[in-house]
Amino acid sequence: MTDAAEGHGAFTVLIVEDDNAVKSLIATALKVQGYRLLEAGTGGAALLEATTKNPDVIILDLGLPDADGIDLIRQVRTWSHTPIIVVSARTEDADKVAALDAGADDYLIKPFSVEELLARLRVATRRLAADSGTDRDGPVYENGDLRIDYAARTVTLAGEEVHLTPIEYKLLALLARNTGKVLTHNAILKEVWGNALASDLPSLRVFMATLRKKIERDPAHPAYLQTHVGIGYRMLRK
Amino acid sequence: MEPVDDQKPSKEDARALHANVELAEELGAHVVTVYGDDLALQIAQYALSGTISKTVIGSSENSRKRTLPFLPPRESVGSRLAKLSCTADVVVIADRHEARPTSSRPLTARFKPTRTDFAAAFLALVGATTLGLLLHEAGLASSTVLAVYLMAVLLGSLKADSFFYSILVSPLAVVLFNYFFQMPRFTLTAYGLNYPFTFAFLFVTSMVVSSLTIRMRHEAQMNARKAYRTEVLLETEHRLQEANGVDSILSTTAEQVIKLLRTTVVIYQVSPSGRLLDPIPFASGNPDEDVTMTSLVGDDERAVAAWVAGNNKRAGKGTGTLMNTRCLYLSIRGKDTVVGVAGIVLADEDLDAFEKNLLLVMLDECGQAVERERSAEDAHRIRLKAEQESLRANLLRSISHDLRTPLTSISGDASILLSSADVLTDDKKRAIYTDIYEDALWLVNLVENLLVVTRLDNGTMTLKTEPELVEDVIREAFHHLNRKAALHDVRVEVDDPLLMAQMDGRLIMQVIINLVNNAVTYTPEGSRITVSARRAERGQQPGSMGLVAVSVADDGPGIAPADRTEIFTMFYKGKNVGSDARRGMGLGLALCKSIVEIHGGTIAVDALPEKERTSPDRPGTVITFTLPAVEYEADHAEAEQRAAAVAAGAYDEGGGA
Repeated sequence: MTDAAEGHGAFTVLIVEDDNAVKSLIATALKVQGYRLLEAGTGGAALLEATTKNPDVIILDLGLPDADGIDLIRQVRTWSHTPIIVVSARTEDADKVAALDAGADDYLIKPFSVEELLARLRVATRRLAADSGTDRDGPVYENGDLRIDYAARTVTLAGEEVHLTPIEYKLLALLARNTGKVLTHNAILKEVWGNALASDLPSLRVFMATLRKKIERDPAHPAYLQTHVGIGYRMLRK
Repeated sequence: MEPVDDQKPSKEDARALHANVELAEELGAHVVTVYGDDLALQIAQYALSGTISKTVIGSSENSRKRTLPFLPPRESVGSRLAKLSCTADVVVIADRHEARPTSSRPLTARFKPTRTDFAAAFLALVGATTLGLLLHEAGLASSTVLAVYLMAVLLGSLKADSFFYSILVSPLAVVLFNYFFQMPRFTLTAYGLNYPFTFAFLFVTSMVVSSLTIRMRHEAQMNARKAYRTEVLLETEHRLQEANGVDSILSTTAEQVIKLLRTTVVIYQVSPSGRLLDPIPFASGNPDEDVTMTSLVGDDERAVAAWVAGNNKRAGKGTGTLMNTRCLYLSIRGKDTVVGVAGIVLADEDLDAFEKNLLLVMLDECGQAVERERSAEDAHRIRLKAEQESLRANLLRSISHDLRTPLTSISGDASILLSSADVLTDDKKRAIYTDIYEDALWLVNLVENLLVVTRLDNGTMTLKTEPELVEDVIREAFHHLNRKAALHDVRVEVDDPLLMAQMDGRLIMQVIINLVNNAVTYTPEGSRITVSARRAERGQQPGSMGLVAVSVADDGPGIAPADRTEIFTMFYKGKNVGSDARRGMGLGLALCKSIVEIHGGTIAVDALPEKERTSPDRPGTVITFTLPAVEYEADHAEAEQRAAAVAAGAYDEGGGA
């Protein structure tokens, strides 16, 4: 129960979900883990809670009856960087990609297991802790054995230098700056390539694969670079 | 019946004929034209070939008139027809109107002089005279020279167009012979009875030969026309049969009409509900034609076309209705309905009868072809709907069965916990919780599959494919496997981590999940299940892209060869069911097939190769599916260069590489 030891009592989670059964399920799971809870059943209530109570993490169901989840994300993003995890019942990727591009950090597909929910929450809260602890755009990035020196443009893994091509470096740096957040293919292409041509997608895949080979000790079970098929990639915090 | 020598009937007759044909068409008759001279024979022949059971013919006074005083009366058409028709009844109806004197058409036509006649006569006479003079100098008798003249006249009559030739050349021949060869030479005096007789014989023989050649020529012309007509109609029929779809039928017809008439054609299709669709013009490519496309599809032209479609009568230029248009509009009819309207651009002259007739037959065939095609399309749609309905019914049946089973366990387990929790041991309780959890997970996968099935079934699935790394997709699929997979030895073998294929990642993940879950279900615990991927070459098609082949192999009891083709059909459950008998929905593999096929790939099942089997009684199973490969080598290098160029433009190029 290392999670409890990390002091989850400090984190407030806003659950925005119109289905009462699912809402109570999430609430129960989180309460057991020591999170503080806020609940909202509609988009309007959610905005109210978000603005007045300032939660640490927002779990947002995209299928709200009275509001468009994507709009809600955009609104929240105008004043805050609060991690948003979207929950979507639909299995098509388009809505998740749209949510991520609008500013969400992560996604969950219904039906999800409580384990998955808790894991996602851990990623979000770790990011918060890291962000609040260190300067986000500081000169050095440390994540387990991985160390990136932004100024010198060097990358070391457990002390040994890793040789990356310019593109690979840009990719790694982008993912590192957004540790814990799922970046969509489009977002990555725009940042690294300057535009999001569909023809660049195979290249992105190849670059990510070679990067993984260079960074991960066991490319079959990545510790840092997580792939989300059809959505994007994410850097995990060790 | 069209007479062979094209002579146009008199104005009155023409009008009467036109009115009668229109009336007949209005009443629903099918008007056919045959070619020939002998009315009774032609009708009898047509009746024979066309499965006609009753022939009705009007009798006219003229046929009963005697042509010459001493000849027996010409047999009436009716009685002749009755004699010739063996299969059809012949009904003769007396003409109410008084007999009108017909022009003695046959005779006068054949007496019209033409230029060829004069030329032939001239040449014959000149030739004969010249030759004769030569022979005379050679010392031959004048009787030989007469034979020469006879020969020349006969040769000339082979070329002559009408009897006028005979009338012209016979007296001239006699005169010339007299002048040049008969004593006294170079005078026109004649002695004896020879000349009248010579003249008479020359005249008669040349008339006979002329008439033979004239008739032969006309028959040849008629046969040529018949042959041409048959050829055009056969070609039209052939092309119409090959045409696929109503649009193709209409455009083929337009092309054939253009071939026939060499004028531009505009086709309007009439929808099954009766609405006139937009016109499609077909240019003739004829440089002599003076027509602009836009003038042909203007509102007034369309209005006429609409009228024709609604009233099923011809209109437009050259007809009596709505004449001020560029085109002649004819309806294209099926058996019962108007399926289209054809607009034929007419130059100022009307179409000749032969062409008009062919045109009507072609449009007729077109109409029937369109009707046939529409019926076929309707039948196909109905059949498809029926298939979908039966599939849906099967699906619902199977769903209710396969949902009920795990739901029964879940509710049963939950009720046990509710009622007897205090008497159950912790271990037992844990076992029940686990069962509930696993049943629920199983249901989750089932629902996933169902969602995909319903989307595929509705046709609302728009496949969005992207290049994906095969290894990534396989690994993510492994996160969603049946929990029992943990009891098996599941491994991944993809030697090229950069192997990429074009796919919808989520769908192919579902395929892999289904295949691996299937292997887990139908093999004993501890069996080895391997998911591998490699490049493969496409078949013999040249220039085709490479393929990626993904295989899910297990070393279990395998699938009997007889079942191998069946397992991909929906709802099929193998006879050798594994230990978890209730787990088969039979949907998973059929869904895999559908998904792979909409990606353009293939799926097949086989046994493990000999050397990979763990034991002889376990031949194992290998299910392999293919996906289009994505080439990356070139892209990679180019992308690196391109991106480097972008980076060079925006940032300093520091170290780190």
